[in-house]
Amino acid sequence: MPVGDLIAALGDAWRALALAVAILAGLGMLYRVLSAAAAVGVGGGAGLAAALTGAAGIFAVALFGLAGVPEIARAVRAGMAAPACGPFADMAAAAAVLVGALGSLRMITAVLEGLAAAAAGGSASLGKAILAAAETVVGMALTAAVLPLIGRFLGGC
Amino acid sequence: MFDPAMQQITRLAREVWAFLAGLIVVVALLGGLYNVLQGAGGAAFGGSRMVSIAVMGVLGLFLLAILGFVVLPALGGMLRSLIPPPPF
Repeated sequence: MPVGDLIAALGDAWRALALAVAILAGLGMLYRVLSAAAAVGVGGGAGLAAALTGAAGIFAVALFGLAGVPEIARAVRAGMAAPACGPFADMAAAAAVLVGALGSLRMITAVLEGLAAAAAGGSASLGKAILAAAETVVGMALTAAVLPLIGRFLGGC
Repeated sequence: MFDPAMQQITRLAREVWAFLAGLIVVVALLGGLYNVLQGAGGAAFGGSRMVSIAVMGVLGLFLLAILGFVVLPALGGMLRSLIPPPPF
């Protein structure tokens, strides 16, 4: 079943990306602690504050990626329980699952992107991840709304 | 499908972790030495404020080392335990 295989491959990609999020968060926080130690070593209070707030930001972004993103994906999927009718039901259900899976991967990728920037010394940002979450919600809502209309238009419902 | 690549990345991340932890030890030791020098200089010239700043600096380095070697591994373990199954 091609859709099942595709979902399994996307699941593997999800596990790898989630592990990468945890790894990057740990390394990024350790780097910030190193920055803080260097700042304290030469008496720089501003550097210490920036490093500690950076570590807290990395932890917050990682927490959003590992705890928030799956909940958003599950909530959106639960809201799309009956996306279509008639012969289009299977197709609509598969499309909704695929859109949700791709959207979940986009969200975790956006979190990973923000974490990579923060781990390299930049600012931790949730903006792209939240935009990706919004796009996923809109995409799944469109899938659930358009396919019944197509079904009615083609006389399937 | 991604397991071989992730195993390599995990091995690399372990090496980076060990390198950063070693670097923290080196930086903390050097920073502590600098603060001791500053405190000794302050004490020699009668600058009590310099001594107190140096002592606080050493204490701060100690606290940061504890943060790096005790708190961060615990936080990392917590994040690792939070890795969710695919939500689809």
